Amino acid sequence: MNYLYWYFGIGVVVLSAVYISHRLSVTKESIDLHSSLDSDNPDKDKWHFKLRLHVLLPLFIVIFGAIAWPIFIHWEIEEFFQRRRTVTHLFVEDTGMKVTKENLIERQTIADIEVLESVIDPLNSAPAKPFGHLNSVWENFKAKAENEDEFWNFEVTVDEWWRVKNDCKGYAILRGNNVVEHMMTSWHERVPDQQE
Amino acid sequence: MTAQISENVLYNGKEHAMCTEPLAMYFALGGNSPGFQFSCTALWRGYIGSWEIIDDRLYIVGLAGRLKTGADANLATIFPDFPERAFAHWYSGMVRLPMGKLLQYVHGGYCSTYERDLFLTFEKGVISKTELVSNGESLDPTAQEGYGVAALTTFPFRKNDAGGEES
Repeated sequence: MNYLYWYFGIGVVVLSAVYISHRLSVTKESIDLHSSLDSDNPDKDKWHFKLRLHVLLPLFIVIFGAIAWPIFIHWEIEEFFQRRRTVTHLFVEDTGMKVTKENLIERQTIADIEVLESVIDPLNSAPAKPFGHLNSVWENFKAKAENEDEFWNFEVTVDEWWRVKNDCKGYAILRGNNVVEHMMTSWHERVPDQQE
Repeated sequence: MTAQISENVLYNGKEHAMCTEPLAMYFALGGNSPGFQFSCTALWRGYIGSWEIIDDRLYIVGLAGRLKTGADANLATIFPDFPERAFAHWYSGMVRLPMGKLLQYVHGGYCSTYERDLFLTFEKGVISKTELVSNGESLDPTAQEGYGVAALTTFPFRKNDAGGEES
């Protein structure tokens, strides 16, 4: 029984620390976003919405926090490390997409790719460079190639959850027999009649 | 998961809800993501984008959101050299614009069904195909007209070292 008291006691301390930290760090919402959220919330002035937001939700958090406080500590540690790293290729990380030699279609020169992927917009709303707004991604990708490397375009099918298939396209750097880098340029979810 | 607030698009002179997030593809392709702050159960992505289709080309013309640093986000946050309008050449795929009255509400993602769906297919930011699909007709005269979410919970933003007003 003593251990249980200790467990809930620590939970109360953790919750208090989280609450104080929250009160010290809370800010006003951006006016644009706040008005958009407000206009999209049909229940904002109704009593049940206020009850849920101001009573039930805090009550739930207190009960949940006292029982499952180690999760709060885990979240805080995770958030601390997340702030330290910049993730850009979310899709690739999420799906674990891999490009192999079997996925390569045709060898191409850098000049060919840059002509094919040049972006010209009549309203000048994109950089007039290969890959436009994503030019820096291309430049970083190109910089990873060594003298004897080859550039190929590729297409790969990625299986996601619930039998959803995505067709991913892009460019890859082939070094010897191995694909050492790839840059994705598009992915399409297959429409149902294309699903196997 | 809560139903999500849509993006907005101006197409053929009319404002529509857009139940697709072309900016997600930009980030997935390696475009610089500034790290949006989640603040609402109906807005997991942390921002609302405004889009416009001009001469069959898709442009993002506005953005409202909040960053994890505490700063407000706008279009210049993502496209500093194109703060007014950026051509979405990175986007290939389908965009769904729901229209008409609500037929069936689903409190998750963009799963609700409306009387009609206008599907626009883009190839590198340019429309290659349009298709209007009819899903039926609402017999309920009080049915909601146009896209919306039925309920959401907002959370206060957190301040970080980039500042922001304290409440």
